[in-house]
Amino acid sequence: MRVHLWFTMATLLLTFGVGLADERLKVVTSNETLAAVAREVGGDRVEVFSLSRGVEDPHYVSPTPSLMLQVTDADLFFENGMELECWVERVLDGGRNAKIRRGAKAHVYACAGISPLEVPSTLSRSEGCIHAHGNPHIWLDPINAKTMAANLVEGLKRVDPEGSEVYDQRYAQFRARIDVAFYGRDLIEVLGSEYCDRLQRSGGLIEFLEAHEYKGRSLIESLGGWRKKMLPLRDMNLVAYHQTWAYLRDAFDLDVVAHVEPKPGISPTPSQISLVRRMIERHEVPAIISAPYYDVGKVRTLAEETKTNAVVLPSGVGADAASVDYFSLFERITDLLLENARS
Amino acid sequence: MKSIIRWSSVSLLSFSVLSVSTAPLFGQESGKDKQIEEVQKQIQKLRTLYENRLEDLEKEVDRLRGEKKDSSLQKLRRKAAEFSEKKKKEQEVMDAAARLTGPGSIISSKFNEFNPRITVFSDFLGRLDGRRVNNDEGVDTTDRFSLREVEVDFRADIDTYAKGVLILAMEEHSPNEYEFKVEEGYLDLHTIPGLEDVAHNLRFKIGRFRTEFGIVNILHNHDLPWTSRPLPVIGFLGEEGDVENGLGIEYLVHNPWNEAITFNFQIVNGENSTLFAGANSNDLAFLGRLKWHKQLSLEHEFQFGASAYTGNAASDPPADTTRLSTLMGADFYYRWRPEKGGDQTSILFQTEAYLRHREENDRTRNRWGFYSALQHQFLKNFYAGARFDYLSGAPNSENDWHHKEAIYLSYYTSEFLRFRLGYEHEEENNGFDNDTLMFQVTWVFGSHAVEPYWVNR
Repeated sequence: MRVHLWFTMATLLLTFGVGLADERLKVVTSNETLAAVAREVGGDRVEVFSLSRGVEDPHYVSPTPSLMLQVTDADLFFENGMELECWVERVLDGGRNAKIRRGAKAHVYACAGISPLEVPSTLSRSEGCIHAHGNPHIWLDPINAKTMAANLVEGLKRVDPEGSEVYDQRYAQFRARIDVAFYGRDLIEVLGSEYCDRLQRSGGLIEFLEAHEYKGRSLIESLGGWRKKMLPLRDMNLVAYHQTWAYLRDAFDLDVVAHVEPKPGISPTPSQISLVRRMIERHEVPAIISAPYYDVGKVRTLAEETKTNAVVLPSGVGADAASVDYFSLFERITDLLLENARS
Repeated sequence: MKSIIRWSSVSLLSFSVLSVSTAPLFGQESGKDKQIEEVQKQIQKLRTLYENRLEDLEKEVDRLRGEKKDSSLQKLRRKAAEFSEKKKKEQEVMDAAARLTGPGSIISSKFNEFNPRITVFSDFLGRLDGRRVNNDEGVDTTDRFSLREVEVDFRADIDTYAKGVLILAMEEHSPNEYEFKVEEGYLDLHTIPGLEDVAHNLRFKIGRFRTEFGIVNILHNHDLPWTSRPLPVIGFLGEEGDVENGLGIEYLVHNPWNEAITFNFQIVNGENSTLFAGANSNDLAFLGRLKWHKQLSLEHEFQFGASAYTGNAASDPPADTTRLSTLMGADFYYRWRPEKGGDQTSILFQTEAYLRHREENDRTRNRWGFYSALQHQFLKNFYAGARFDYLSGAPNSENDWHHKEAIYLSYYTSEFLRFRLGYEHEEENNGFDNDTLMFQVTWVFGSHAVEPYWVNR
């Protein structure tokens, strides 16, 4: 009798997945940067899992059954969108969780409402691995992180209305921290977040600050944060391996004069390498930048040949040991670029 | 403003002091002290009044100063807004110019979300044989090029609950003769409408599909990591593998260890002519598969699987006879992707073993086979590998054996184009042997579904 009872209980457990309930919402994200944003705005109300690691190329993640298992009991799924994660569809199909499917209320795209860069004018594979909706590496502009977090907060409030106040509060804190970290406290106090963002998005922030005064003091003196830290590198020419850095380039007024890949996702050809060499010499490029998951060996060889530096930048949270959250990611990126410039 | 306040306060104080000093001239001697006390109270009252008023006026001054400060700030912010608008417009003009002068001046197309996603796979094969080779129909296929197969893959969401998949194939079955067929066409039901909470870990497949036996059978020809299917797959499931009409249920098994364990159960027509009774089958076949996938770390993963497939080996057998055919299989793969290599390198070991058990009246006949394959992705776009196949004898010659050794080198220009060179040596104990050099090109155009994740880019 006892054996039968145990057997029945085990069967029920296996069939209906009765487990220990965790009151926290299970938020699953497609990458670690999104997971970091989710932790910022979700706080203790959420438990966050990332399907990929920061050292992985977010375009190519194996949609294994183990990942499918992660989403079966997810309360909310948060992905970048803009066709960055073609593999996610397989994971969601395999996860059989109707509430987080694309289009469902517990599915959130981080990219909603973000102005895309590099939207292709033609959709053809002859242009390489292009993304129809534009360059998807949106998280590399701190302003976009605020929109990404806002999208997530809307999703969290849909699935957990009781937590709305907490999510709003934490979102406001995250937003304020981003503002101070990016522009500095003084500038935010003078111009406010909205006007700083408007100027930054227009590409004219520094020009405006240099041309205007407040209380007899040039506004540029009020600039702080990462934006000030990166001012010495303004208009610096760089070569990048892949088109990962378009948003970072615009956020800090950098200039990417060439890519090692002839077209996105296409391995470098000898003619492209030769072109890149010429560009490095002509523009006196101080660094070739690459994410850690690309062919770093090739980047280093090219840098040695052209007497420039190879800088492996973390392209997302978790891409190196120091980039543990959204803020340390940008500290790390800016530190590495400045160190390179100094060297 | 502050000077007005000062003058007012001085006047008030002077008046108060004057009042206090003149009071004794008009009052009685006895009430002097009382009067003084009264006057002091009045002074105190006036002082309080004066202090309150002073405080109010100072606040007013601060407010007016703040307003003045705000207006300059507002002016600055207005300037910021105007400046950003101007810059934005300049940028828009530049972007528009770039669109007009850049490659492809018009946005020619966007994916039509309501139409199915369409992908076309083409598989081209050239072979150079060491001896004369015939196909299944006895037609000579030695030393020739062949557009082996073209597949058109349509996929779309049907509604909230289901997806549809249709894969049409045109295959060269004899030189320059193509056969059109529905390779797969099924409904992929993610859940049961209305029972999402109870049955959310179930998935249903209804239609025509590749059955879930082992690892390789579910792969289409263009997805294979080799140019040919392994001998045991051909020997037990047919030249193209097993494709059947039927129903399938996939269950992601909840377990206390939170492991990725999947159970598949499929009921199909049992019309496979190699394993069962062929197109004339009147009996259903049943397939069960259990697999366990484990991601040990980012670098290491493996999968174990076991499958069983049973049906009738003959159509309409006499009433007092049985012709049961059962195929059992076990499979395993292990993949190592060094973390530092990103997606540049990987090593894959994969193996499958098969045992077929056939009952014919009081006779039982067993046949077995296996293959093992090792693949090394030594650069991002280069894969080299080797495979060994073994198959015990055909049903009428149980002591015979058949084996094949294959090596290959694949090069991807991108996920959409692959070149492959292969060499195969095949030998049977009846004296047959052959060496074949193969050249394969596979290309994909369209919206491209993700390839089998463990074997290819």
